[in-house]
Amino acid sequence: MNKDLISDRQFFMLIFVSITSLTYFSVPTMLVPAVKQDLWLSMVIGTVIDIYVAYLLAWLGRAYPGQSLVQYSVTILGKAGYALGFIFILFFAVVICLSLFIFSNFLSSTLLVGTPLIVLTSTMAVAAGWAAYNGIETIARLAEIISVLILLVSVAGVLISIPQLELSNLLPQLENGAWPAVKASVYPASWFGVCILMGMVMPHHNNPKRTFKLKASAVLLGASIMTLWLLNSIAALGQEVVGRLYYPVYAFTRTIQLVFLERVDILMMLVYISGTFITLSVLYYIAAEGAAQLFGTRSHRKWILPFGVLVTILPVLPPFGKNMLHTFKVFEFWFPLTALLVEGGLTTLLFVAALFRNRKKKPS
Amino acid sequence: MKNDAFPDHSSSSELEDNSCIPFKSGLGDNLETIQVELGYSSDLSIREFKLGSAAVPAAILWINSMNDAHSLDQNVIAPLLERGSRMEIVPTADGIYEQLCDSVIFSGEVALAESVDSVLTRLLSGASVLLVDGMTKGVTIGNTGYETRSIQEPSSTSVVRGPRDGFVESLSVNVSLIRRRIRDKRLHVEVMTVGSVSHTQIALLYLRHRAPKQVVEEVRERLKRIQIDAVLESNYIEEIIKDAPRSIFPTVYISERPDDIAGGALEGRVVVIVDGSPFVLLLPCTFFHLMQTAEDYYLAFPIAAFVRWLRLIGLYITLLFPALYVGILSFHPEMVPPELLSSILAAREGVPFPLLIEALLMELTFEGLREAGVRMPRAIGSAISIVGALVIGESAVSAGIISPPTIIVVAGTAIASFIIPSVELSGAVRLLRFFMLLFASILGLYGIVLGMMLLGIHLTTIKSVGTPYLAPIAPFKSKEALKTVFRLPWWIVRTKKN
Repeated sequence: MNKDLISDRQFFMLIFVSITSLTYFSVPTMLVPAVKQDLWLSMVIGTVIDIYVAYLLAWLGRAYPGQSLVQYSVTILGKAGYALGFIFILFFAVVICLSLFIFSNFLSSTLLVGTPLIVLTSTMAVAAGWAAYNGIETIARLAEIISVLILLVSVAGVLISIPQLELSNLLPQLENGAWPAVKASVYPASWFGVCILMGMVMPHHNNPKRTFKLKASAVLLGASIMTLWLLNSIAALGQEVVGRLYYPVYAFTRTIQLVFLERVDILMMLVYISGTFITLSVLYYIAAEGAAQLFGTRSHRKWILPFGVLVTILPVLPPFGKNMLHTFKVFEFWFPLTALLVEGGLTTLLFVAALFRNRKKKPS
Repeated sequence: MKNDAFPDHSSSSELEDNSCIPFKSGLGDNLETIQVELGYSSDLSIREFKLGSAAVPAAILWINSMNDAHSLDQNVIAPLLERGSRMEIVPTADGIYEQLCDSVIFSGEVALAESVDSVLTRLLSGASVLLVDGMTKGVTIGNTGYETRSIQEPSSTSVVRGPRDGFVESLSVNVSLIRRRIRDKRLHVEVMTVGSVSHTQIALLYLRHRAPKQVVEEVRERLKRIQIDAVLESNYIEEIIKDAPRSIFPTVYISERPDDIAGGALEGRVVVIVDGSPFVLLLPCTFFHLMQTAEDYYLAFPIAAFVRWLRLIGLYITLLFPALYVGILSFHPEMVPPELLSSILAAREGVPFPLLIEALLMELTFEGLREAGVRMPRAIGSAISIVGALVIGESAVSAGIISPPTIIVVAGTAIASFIIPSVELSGAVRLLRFFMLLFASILGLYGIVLGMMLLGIHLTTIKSVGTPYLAPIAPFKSKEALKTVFRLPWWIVRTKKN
């Protein structure tokens, strides 16, 4: 079979882009008001959790070479594996919906004020759907270009903002002890954990031995850049202001002025929009591919349209859309809970089950 | 016996489709058959004579306008009459033709033809045919000769520094123009015939040790699969063999310059030359290949690198300038520095159209002017430029119908679009500019990013004979990418290659 393969660099870039763009749009809203200057600890814990999951997935991926997350769940658990695979696919679909919602909400309150959500979700879903239709190779190639942009913009942004920093804004550190930061680490952990998409992408990686190393370094790089961004924005704007903002990084970039450009923030946002596009495309692709593998469809392409309709419609329906209180509840409580259960819990379950299976096999 | 200069690979299969007409033994019958087949065309000439001491009837046939009359007289008819009449020739004996070809006919290119059909094909491509009474074969003598354009500087591209010869409409001349530059035994030339009516010759050229085998095979396969009645220009072939035929991006490189094509062959690409067209195809072709010119390699390397970047900037300006203008002014005016914004707004005072309509109107006007200018005779061309500059530029602004900033944007786009070296790519980008304009007018900058993403997905999806279109940037290959972004000096490239 002629499988789409992606190189080391492309794999690294895919993960890096996903981490940064998810963090740019999704994480800060919950994380920053909760812990403010202590967020670095949450980010560190989130990263550690994610690397732990990455280790499990890398182990599983090498134990069952050529199989994706969905496929080896079935191999390991048999009938129950179908349920597990279904949960994974559902989870990917939910993540697409949620990040689409956050993204569209963000755009409609900053860049395109007053644009109906459905316009934004549908355009993005169509674009990402088309990317997913064309397969992982295409997405990975585009990610190569965009990740360089993101990296440049992020580093440049951090450098430019140095004169505005008030480091005293970052003090006192851990004034309420470490516990709130540890508790808040569920937010970054749940979003970083979306990178269990690695389990689906791994069979496409042409060098599975290096998958774990690449994934870990990509997450480290992405997380540290975003932590720097968040800390920078707190240092520049002050804890009080940042605590009341929905999108602190964005608010912070608004204050940056570059030579004659008045609004660097918009340019930066455009770059992160393209990053989100990549993330959504990958998620979309693996959801469709997972569904194809689970239900034995030959091509993932048949699943693009159903998923497209789903992710376009869902984000604009209640409990999203109108009722912000509900939405808030979803992002504050339900999403981290399910995400951690799926990302951490189910993968660990799989890992343990696989260990047992292997042990059983060896004596016989 | 010598073969044709170009061994013919596919014509036999093409001919087998027709009912094969065999030769009869009588000369008169054969001449009759040929005349009937050609519908007694008046440009068919027949010269009958007697051969050898036994006075065997024989005839030379040729198509008037396709044949080099001088060469025919000197090399075929004169020796046949002079020496052939003195020879001992036994009618119906085998080996007459061998004898004649070996020691009588002077022409370089002679071949035996087994059937009337093959004789007709050769006849119609300009060869002359020798038929001897009693023989069920014929000899074709390749002294094709018709007027061709002399080698001139190509009009589609001109250079400041570099060779000034350009391809012409003749296949053999074009092959020679490449052979002259690459005198290597490993430069292979394969000729095939395409077109059930036009019988156009196509040559496939490649350097055996540099062109990847699978690429050569793929191109050969694609050429063999072509089913078409006539080929009048290389674009016919290009459209049939190109990857992603629905894409508006060119995935085949086209050039009128032999040095350009020879450079491509040296890089391991496959050359396709179509008889009758001075535009030669080169595969595979990537996006960045289209952004380069042969002249890059004749200029000082820092300047060449600068020019390459300039082209890339030009590409983006062509694609995005009008879209950014409309998108930013209608959705995000706060992005523009206040002084600039106020001067733009002041200039737009009293303009009756919305920004999008204004921009579209001017862009379309420019496209119209450009198209009109291309095909106009030179005398009328100046009238068009006057009309364009005065009527559209001056009057529209002074009448307050169009604002000056829009004119500036359109003019800037126009200039930028001329920087792109490939006409096909420039056309694609110019067309996409309108889509970008629409995206920007609906969704502002988000629309532009969305459009760029869609474009990016398309560009990363398409391939040209197995090479990703955006190679070597995506997928990234550091060495080749360096060569693409900068024009490395020869002393670096050379040492690495050797």
